[in-house]
Amino acid sequence: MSVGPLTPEALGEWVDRTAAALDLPLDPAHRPGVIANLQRLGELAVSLEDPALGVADESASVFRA
Amino acid sequence: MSPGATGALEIGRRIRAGEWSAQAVMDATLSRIERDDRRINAFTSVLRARAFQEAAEVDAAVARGLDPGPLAGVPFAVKNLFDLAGEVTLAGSASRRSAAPAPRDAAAVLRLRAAGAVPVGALNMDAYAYGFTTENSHYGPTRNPHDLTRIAGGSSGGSAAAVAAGLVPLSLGSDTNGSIRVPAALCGIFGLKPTYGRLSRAGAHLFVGSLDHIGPFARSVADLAAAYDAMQGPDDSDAACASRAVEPASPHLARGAEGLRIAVAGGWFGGPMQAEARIAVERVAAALGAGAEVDVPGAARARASAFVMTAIEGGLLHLPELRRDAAGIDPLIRDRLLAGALAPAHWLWQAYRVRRQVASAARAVFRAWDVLLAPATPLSAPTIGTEWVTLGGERMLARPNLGLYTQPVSLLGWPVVVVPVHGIGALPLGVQVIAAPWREDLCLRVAAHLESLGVASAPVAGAF
Repeated sequence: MSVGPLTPEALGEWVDRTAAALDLPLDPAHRPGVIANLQRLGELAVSLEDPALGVADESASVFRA
Repeated sequence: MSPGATGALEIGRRIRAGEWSAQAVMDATLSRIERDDRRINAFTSVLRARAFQEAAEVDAAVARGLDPGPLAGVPFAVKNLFDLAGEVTLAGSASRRSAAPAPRDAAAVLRLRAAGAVPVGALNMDAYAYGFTTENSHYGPTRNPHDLTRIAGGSSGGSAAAVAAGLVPLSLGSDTNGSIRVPAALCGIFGLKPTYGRLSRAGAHLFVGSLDHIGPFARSVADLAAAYDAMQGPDDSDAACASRAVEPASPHLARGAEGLRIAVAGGWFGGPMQAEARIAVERVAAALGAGAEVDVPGAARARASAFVMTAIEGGLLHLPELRRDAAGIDPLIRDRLLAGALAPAHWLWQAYRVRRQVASAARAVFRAWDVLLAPATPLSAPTIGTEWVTLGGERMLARPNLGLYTQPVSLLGWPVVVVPVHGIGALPLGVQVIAAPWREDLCLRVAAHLESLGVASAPVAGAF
């Protein structure tokens, strides 16, 4: 599964539309920093893509060490 | 009387024996905080009246022949995300100044009080615990007692600095990605991040619920273990707190490293770092006869998962405030919180699934080994305001990479004691002593052994 292109343009569009959907006002002065941070986050998220993970691999939202 | 340089258990012993009064210890402690805290900015509030009242109650109990507990009259302070009854819990945020006072103490505070200890104040931290430096834009930076131009580490920077400067013998912090271990290392004191779910977080303002731990700081392993033992036990008011009986570690400290299989964590944990950080691990490994190097499978993915979970869970937790007043949030964390709140759900879901996968695979390491050693930070405390560092020829952001070697262990939930190593360079460093889940006793035994050898130590910083 792909997470989509992580270009600043694509992420900028994502940020604007998701912020609107979440009713989250975004100060234009904050937008570049948000996009840069989302890009950093996305690059790490890409590293978590693993074709070996199947439907039986549950999430650890309830985690027991 | 010199309680500033005296350990918690020794203060408790003297008070129980009637050699010192708790009120006199409190008077000396509060005077020292008033005199010296302005140099490091560790405290955000001091509970003078309450501290004297509780100290008087300890003295009254001793006078009646009662035993107030092993930490009788011991002053301690807490990161300002722990509730203290009647006080506003800031969690490092300016917007929380107008919040209602906490109705009761946090569970960990109550348990330390039940062992006789007395809370004296709340300590500075990164806003909402999202950082490794305690360069708080609203409450100012906490300064490292070993060099006032440098950071104390974070996010529990006030907690580490207050102990390193001898203002209190014990403090509490929280650790999501390294927020106990990083400041313990940079301030040169002992810190314990227990197993995820070991200690109750009730009454501590969470940041990332699925990664948050609480734990103590101290200048000796015995004090660290005493505080840890006092706080153990199940608590239904924290959904993550395990239903495990109290398993005291203090009685086992004298066993040291005897019979333990100890290796150095390689792979990810041997990545970029200052030469001094590498020497610190080598020095500890040599003292323990730990010659083998072992790979922790999935460490890089563990770090990535923790990073993603932190940003998204943290951002969503604070979504109401981001909607209401994003401009009022500390600029050092605001854009990260906004990015996390806006990130695709798929990224978080994948991080959760990878967590279970990696945790299951990585635990196999403990079939062959009891304890692993790893650097706590890749460098000693940088100067306040440092944006970039170059490590191993690679230029990287300083702030997030202070957690390079703590973050993977956070995801796995394993217990860690940071042992402080002094004398390699001008500043202290720390080494993570890591064990399998629920084996805090092994971390503490190894730390006690290193302390007995003089390899690990936590003297009050020289300028204090």
